[in-house]
Amino acid sequence: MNATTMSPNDRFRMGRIKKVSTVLKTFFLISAAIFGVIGTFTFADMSMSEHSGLSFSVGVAGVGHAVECWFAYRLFSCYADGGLFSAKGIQWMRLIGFASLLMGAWNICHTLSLRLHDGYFGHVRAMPLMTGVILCFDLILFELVFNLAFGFVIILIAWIMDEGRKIQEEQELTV
Amino acid sequence: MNATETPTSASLRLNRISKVIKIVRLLISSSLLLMIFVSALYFADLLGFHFLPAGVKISFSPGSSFSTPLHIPAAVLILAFTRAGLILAGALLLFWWLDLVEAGDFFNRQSARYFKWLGWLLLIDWLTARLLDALARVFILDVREIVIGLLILLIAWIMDEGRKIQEEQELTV
Repeated sequence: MNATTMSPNDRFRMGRIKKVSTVLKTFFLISAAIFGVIGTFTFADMSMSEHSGLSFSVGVAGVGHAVECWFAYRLFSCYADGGLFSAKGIQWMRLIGFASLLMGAWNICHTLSLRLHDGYFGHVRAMPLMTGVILCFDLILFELVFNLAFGFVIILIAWIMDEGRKIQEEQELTV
Repeated sequence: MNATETPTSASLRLNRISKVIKIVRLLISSSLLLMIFVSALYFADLLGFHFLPAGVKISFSPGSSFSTPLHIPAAVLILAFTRAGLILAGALLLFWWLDLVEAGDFFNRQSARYFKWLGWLLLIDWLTARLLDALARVFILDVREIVIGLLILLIAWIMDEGRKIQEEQELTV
């Protein structure tokens, strides 16, 4: 989109998008820095801490959120530069989805390891077979849906937007 | 975008999108059917028909869990049904959006509107989950859903503004 060929109305809209995107990219950059510092300090503290397992999980969550915020910063930087439907913007959106998916997978592993240590599965085994199966099924389904659904939806949206952009580009070229 | 006027490469892309959409629809529908079936079993338990063995847990939010035989306060039930309704509405919105995409309409006003609703649904769901946690006297700082909801709302707004600019530019040319 070229600012020189825009009508005043369009220029006003573009200016508003750029302003909001600049505020958001600053917000996500600060958040990435804060989460990064929290993650790094927690990892550094891990060797000295009595609760090294807890420090490790907080560290991973901190670094994971920092990465998500960094991708969001790059996405809004793209919008602030005027690339609303650009390939780069869609790529950053897809990376946010992948980061969310990885964080979700980490959450599932973390919850399952917690359940393994707090005797949950021992409690399940002591129950009648039907109850045990339902409890395990409920735990796994709940964890899978609530941790992975957001990431998958973002990746799907990004992929469909990318395909739409490519089709539009090809159509413009063939005309 | 009309499928009859698109070149072969575009038709191939649309076919691929159509295939993926079918798989996504199947996944969403089967998850919904499973959710409705399991919810019906719990609902029957609540009404006194005990199909489920004692001790099976149901979670409405990370902090709000109940075991069979169920005795759930009215406020929790209302909020739980609200969450179920929000999940159904979200799935319906995704279906409608996928219909648009399958028809080849990628960046129109209606898809931006669906995204906005999806963002609002996520925000309301986050609020409902926190209310359920509060009723269970549990405080969990889980901001993931609210951040993703806000992100979807913002992306929908930016997409809509971009679409308006493109439309106006096409008209002025």
